Amino acid sequence: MNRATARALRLSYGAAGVASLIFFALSMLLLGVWPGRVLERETAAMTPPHALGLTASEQRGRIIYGREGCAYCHTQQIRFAETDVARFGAPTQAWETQFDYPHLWGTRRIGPDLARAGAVHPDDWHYAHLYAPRALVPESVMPAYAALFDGAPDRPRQTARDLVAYLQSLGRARELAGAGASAGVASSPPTARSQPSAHGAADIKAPVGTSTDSTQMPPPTQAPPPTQMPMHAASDATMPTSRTPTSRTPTSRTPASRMPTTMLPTSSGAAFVLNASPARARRDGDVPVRLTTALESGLPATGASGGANGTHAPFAIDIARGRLLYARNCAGCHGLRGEGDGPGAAGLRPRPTNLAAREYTRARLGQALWNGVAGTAMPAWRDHAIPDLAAIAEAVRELRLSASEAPASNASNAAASAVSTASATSAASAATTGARIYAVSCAPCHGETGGGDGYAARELRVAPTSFRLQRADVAAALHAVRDGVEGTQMAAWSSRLTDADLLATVQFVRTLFQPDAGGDRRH
Amino acid sequence: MTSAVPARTEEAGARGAGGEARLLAMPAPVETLLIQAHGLAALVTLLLSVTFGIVMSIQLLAPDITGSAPWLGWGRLRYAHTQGIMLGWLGNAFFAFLYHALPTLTGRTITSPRLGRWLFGLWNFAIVAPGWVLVLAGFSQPLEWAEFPLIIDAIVVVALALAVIQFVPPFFRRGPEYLYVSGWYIVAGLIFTLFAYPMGNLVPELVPGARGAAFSGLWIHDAIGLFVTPLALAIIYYVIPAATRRPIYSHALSMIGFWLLLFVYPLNGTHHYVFSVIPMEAQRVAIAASTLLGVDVLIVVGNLLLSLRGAGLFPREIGLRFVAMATVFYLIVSIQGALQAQMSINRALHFSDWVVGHAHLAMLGFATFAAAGGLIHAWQRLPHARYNARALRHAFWLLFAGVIVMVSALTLAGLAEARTWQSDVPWLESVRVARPYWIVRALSAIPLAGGFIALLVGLSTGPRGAGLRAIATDDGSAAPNAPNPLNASNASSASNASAAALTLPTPAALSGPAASGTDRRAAPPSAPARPPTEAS
Repeated sequence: MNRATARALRLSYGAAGVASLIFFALSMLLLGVWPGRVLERETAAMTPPHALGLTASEQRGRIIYGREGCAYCHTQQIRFAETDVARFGAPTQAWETQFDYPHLWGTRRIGPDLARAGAVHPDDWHYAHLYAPRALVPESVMPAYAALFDGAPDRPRQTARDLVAYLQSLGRARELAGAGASAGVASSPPTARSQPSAHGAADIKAPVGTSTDSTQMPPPTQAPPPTQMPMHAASDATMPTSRTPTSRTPTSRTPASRMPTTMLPTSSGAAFVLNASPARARRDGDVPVRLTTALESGLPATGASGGANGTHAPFAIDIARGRLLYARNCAGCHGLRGEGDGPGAAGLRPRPTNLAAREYTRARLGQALWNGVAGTAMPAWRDHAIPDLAAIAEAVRELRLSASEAPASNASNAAASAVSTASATSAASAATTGARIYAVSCAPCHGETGGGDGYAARELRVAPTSFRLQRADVAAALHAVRDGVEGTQMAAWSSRLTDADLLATVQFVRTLFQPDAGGDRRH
Repeated sequence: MTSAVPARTEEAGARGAGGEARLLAMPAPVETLLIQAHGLAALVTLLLSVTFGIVMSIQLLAPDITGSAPWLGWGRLRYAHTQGIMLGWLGNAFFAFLYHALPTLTGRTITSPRLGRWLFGLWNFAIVAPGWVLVLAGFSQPLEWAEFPLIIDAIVVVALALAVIQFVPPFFRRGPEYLYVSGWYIVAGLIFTLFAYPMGNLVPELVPGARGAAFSGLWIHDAIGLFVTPLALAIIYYVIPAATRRPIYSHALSMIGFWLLLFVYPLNGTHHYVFSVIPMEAQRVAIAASTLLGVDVLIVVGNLLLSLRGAGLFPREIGLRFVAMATVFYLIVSIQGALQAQMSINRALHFSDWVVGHAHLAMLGFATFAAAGGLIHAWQRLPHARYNARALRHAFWLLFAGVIVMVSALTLAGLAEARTWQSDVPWLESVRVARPYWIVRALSAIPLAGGFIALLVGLSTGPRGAGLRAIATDDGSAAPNAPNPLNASNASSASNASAAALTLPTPAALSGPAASGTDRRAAPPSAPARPPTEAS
C-alpha cells in the first residue's frame, strides 16, 4: 500500500466513522427526539382539562406492577389495529401515558392488554384473582401473588391494595374524558391537531359523529395503509364487538356521558360509535336481540343459515359445550355444581350466587351473562360467542334441575319445612302476612311487583334482585332474608321478623316469579 | 509505543507430531488469566441464566410450582434471565474473546492488565451478581433489556467506558487503514454501546409514556444491534479465517457490510412499536431500515459463507463449527426480523410467541453460538487450559437440537396465538392453544441445559493442552490448502504465520517498520486477512 492509498483509505474511514456517529445521532433525533416533540404537542392538544395523574397509592401500585414484571405479559398499549381495538377498546393515545415514568407498554401479550383494565372487574375480584388466579380462571397461567396478602384473598396487605388501586386506575383518564377524548383523532384534520393548541380544550370537544375524515392514525400522521384500517364494521363475522349492535347505541339507561366513544369510519363511509373502553367494562345496556332470541326461542344466533330467507331453522343448544364452558369459566366462583362454593368464592363480596338453589328466566341469565352483575364480581361475558352464551345459560338452568333431583337438596329444605309446620298458620293468612310485610319492608328496593325497581333501588351499589326474573328455593331465600347478603344492602331481617313472618314473606316473594312462557324446553 | 512492550515468552505445550515442546514467542502478550476468568464467569452466569429461563418455561405450564416466593416470580426471573444472558454470559464471553484476539488483531497489547482485573471485578461483582440480587429482591426498572436498576446502570456505563479504554486504543496505534474487519466491529460495538446504554436505561425514566417508549424501542434494538451483533460478528470474522487459515472471501464486502450495518442498525428501533401512537413517519423509517438491514445481512452472511467454503456446514474444528452455525442462524434471524417488521406481518404476529422465538434465535442461536465458538477458539489456544473435545462435540449437537426445537415450537405457538387473536374467540383461547407448544419448549430445555453443561465440561475437563493438539489434528481436514501444521513449530503461532504468508500481504507486512521479520509481535496474525486483490 503506498502512501497515497493509505491516505485515501484513512480519509474515507474517517469520513465513514463520522457518518456512523451522525447516523447514530440521527437515529436518536429522528426516532426519539422528533417523535417526542410530536407526541408532546399532541398531548398538549388532546389532554382533557381534568386529566389527573395517579394518587400516592396508585403510584405505589405502579411500582409493584413494574417490579413484578406484569408488563412482560400484559401490554398497556392498544395498537391502531382492528384486532386490538375489537378486544381492548380505542387505541392508546399519547396523552393517556403522559404520567408514566417509565412507560409500561410491553411487547408480549400472554394475558390481555390492560390499558383499559380499570372498572372491568371490581376490587374483590382483583384480590381473589391476584391471590390465586386459577381459583377464578382455571386455565390462567398467571403467577399467584399471595405474598401481597395476609394469608387470605380478603385480607390484602397495603401492597395488594396499592396494586389493585393502580389496576383500577388504568384507562380512567380516558373514561373520564368522555366522548370528546378521542374525537380529535377522528374528526379534526392533522394540521389542526399538530398545532400547539391554544384552544386545546375546544379541539377535544369537537363534535362526534359528523366526521368523514378517514384518518385514525395518531396525529399528525398520514392515512394508514389500506390493509390496516378502516374498521370493517359491516363484516359482522370477523369482529367481536360488531356482534353487539344494540350495546353500541347509548340507551336511556346509559347516559351518553358515561360512554366514552370514538368515531371510526367504516369501509362504507358511515361512522359508528366505538367505546373507548373494552366491552366488558360496561355493566349495563340492552342484551342484544340475537342473544335474547337464542335464549328464548332457541333459534339460530348467527342468522347466517336461516335468517337470510326469513325462516329460522331450529337451533339446538349444545348443552355439552355449555357444561364445558361452565366448567372453564364459571366453576371457579360458582363451583362445579353451582352451589356458589368454587375455589375463588371465598374472597368475593357478595359471594357468588348459589345457582343450584335458584331458577331463572332466560332473560335474566342473558342479562347476567351479557352485562355481568354490576357491583359484584360477576363479569360481563361479551367476549364469548352468542351460541356459547346460550349454551352456558342452559347449563346453568340444568344445575338447578340436577340439584332438585338430588336427595341432598331435599334434606337442605328440611329446615324450611320444619319452620313451615311449626308455624301452623293457614296458607291464606300466611299469604296475606307475606304480602303485607313485602309491601312495607321489601318493596322500597325490590319494587311493588318484585321487579327490583323500587324507588330506593337506584341508590344501591348492587341492584336489588328482581323476583320476577328469578326464584330462590325456600331454604336459600330464607337464608338471605334471615341473614342478609354480605356485600350488598340487603339487611338481615331475623331481628325484626319472626320465623313465621320470614317464611310468609319468602313464600309471597316466590309467587312473584314470572317463569318463561314455554317452560323448560328440555323437560 | 510499538516497540515499548516487551514480548513475553511463554511455553506452550505444543507436542504435535514432532513431540517436542519449544519455547516460543506469542505475537503479543496474551492475558491468559483474564481469558480464563472471563470464560469461567461466562459459563457460570450462562448456566444460572439458563436455569432462570427453564424455571420460567415450567412456570408457564405449572404456575404454582415455585410457590408464592416473590423472588421466584415469573416476572422477576425474566429480568434476571435476559440481563444475565446479555451482560453475564455474552458480556464475559466477549471480553474473554477480546483478550485472546486483540493482540493478534492489533499486534499490540491491551491497555493494562490491571485495568483488566478491575473490569472483571466490576463486571461480575458490581454488575451481574448485585444486579441479579436486586431484581430478584424487587429493585428493578420495567424496561426491556434494561431491567437492572439505575445504580447498576451507572456501574455498567463506567465498566463500558473502562472496556473502551482497555480495548479500543490498541486498534488505533496504527492507522485505521490497517484495521481488520473484526477490529472495526469491536471498536464500533464498544463505543456505540457506551453511547446507547444510558439512552435506553435512563431516558425512559425521565421522559414519560409514549415519548419514553420511543427511546425504549431504540435501545431494545441497540442492545442487540450495537452490542451483541457487532461483537458476535467480530468473533465470526476472526474465527473463520483463523481456523480455516484462509482469508475472508472479500474484504470489500466485509467493509460494505460493516458500514451499512453501523448506519442502519440504530434506525431499526421503532419497529418494536408498529401501529402505536409514535408518529407513522418514524415507524416507516424503522420499517424501511429493517428491510435494508435484511439486505445488508445477506451481504455479510454471503461473504462469511463464501469464506467458509470447503470447511463444510459442520466443520471439524469445534469452535469453527459453532461459528459456522451462528452464521446460518444470523441469516435466518435477520431475514425473519426484516419480515416481521413489515406492517402486514407485524399486525398479526406482534405480541405473540413468534417474537419470543425470534429473540431466542437471535440470542441463543446467533449470539450464543458465536460467543461459544469464540470462547472455545480462545480457550483451545490457551497453553495450559483443559480441553475435552468429545464433550464439546456433544455440546454442539445438543445445543443445535435444542435451538431448533425451541425456536420451532415458539414460532408455531406464535402462529397459533395470532390466529386466535384474529378471530373472535375469548382471550383465554390463545393461552389454551399455546400450551402444547409451551410443553415442547419446556422440553427443549433438556438438550439445551445438557448442551451448556457439556460446554462447561468441555472447557474444564480433559487433559491440559489438549486443545492445541486438537488443532493440529483437525487442521488437515479443515483447510486442505494450508501448509501442514505438523511441520510447524507451534500450532497457534507459527502455522498462522505460514498461512498468512501464503495468502497475502497482510496489513502488518504492509506497515513497513513493524514488519521487520525480527519483531515477532508484528508477525502477521492468523485471523483476518485482506484478499490478494487489495494488495496490488
